[in-house]
Amino acid sequence: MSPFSVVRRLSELIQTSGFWQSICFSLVRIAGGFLTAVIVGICLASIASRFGVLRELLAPALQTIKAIPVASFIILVLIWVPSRNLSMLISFLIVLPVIYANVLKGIDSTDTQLLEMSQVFRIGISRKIRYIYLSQVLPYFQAACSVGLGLCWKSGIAAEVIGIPSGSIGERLYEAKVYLNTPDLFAWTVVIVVVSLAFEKLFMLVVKRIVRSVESM
Amino acid sequence: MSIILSNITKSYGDQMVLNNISLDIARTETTVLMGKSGRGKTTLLRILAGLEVADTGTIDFGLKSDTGTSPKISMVFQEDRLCENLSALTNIRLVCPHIDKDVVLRAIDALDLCDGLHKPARELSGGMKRRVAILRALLSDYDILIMDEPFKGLDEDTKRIVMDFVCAHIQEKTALIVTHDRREAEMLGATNIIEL
Repeated sequence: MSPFSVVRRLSELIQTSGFWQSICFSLVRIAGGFLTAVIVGICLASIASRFGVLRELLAPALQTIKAIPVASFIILVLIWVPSRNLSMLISFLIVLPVIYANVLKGIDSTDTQLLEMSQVFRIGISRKIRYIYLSQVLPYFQAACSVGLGLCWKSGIAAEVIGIPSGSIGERLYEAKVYLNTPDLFAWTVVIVVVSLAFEKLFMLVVKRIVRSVESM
Repeated sequence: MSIILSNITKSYGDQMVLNNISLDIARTETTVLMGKSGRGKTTLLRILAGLEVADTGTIDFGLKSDTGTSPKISMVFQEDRLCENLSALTNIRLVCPHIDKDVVLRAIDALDLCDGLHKPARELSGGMKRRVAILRALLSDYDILIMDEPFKGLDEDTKRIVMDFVCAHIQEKTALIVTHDRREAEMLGATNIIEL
């Protein structure tokens, strides 16, 4: 097996419709899980920053999710969830604690001097979020997304390899393993890396655009 | 709006910062608070602004504001407290969103801030940031203006321009200003100078 054979195999795969269908299948689910985790994580962190009880309640639950090995999760979740949507749930569960913890840390680290200023000048909550919290939490959120995006692809694909949902990238990897088809294995690994990087760049770009447009509103 | 402070005390742990302070600040008066560092001037301003709670004592804002609600406070803090990623203009409009843009632009021009108008605050010089912080406080809608060493870090020429501007704006308003410089107090036309 040489790099040349991997490139040749990849060029063959690109020309098949199954290749693109597999990418779409996994991308939709893994990205879906990631985006859901981002939304839920931001909401939970925002509420937990105001209500200490929720913060205390969530801490052990999220710590447990972080500590459980991904493989155990996958097998456990397979009992209740059909394998088609397994990667979505797994990427959601893996990314949620990362987003939650970082956004909460960002909110906690918001400049108290600016918050006092907003209190004195009676700045409303929406303007406070837009002009004070957003810029202060953004670096933490971006770091969390960068880590989360890597994790969601790793865990999502691992879930697909174990659950073998039909038409997924994980199934292709599983087949490559069963038939000892190393060029296929490497070709699909390259595809996962490229799709994951492209999604990360696109997501970060969209986040930057949204923040810029919200701040300039 | 008048402010009557009665027997205000405030301690941080074992350290008593304010000990039984009583002040009477008349309506539309400029009062200057002076005193050595550590005498509790900033703490007193923070209590007035609602950022700290006094251990004992009361604050009476007279007849409250014209609308019958709590008085609207505007403040120049010891620090600039600007949103660093926002422009000078946005920082000002953040606290006074309904003010006419032309009024803001004229004030910006009067304080020679046109160069930094659209620059993020982090790119402004220390003196420019200070002027933006002062302008923000003056242009906001307030009943009581509190200024904690507002002219700190300004060169003499700029200080004179800014003080003239402040003087023009605080006439007929209730203002409480902390400074270490008696000359500043006189230039501001303080009717009441209190040593803490």
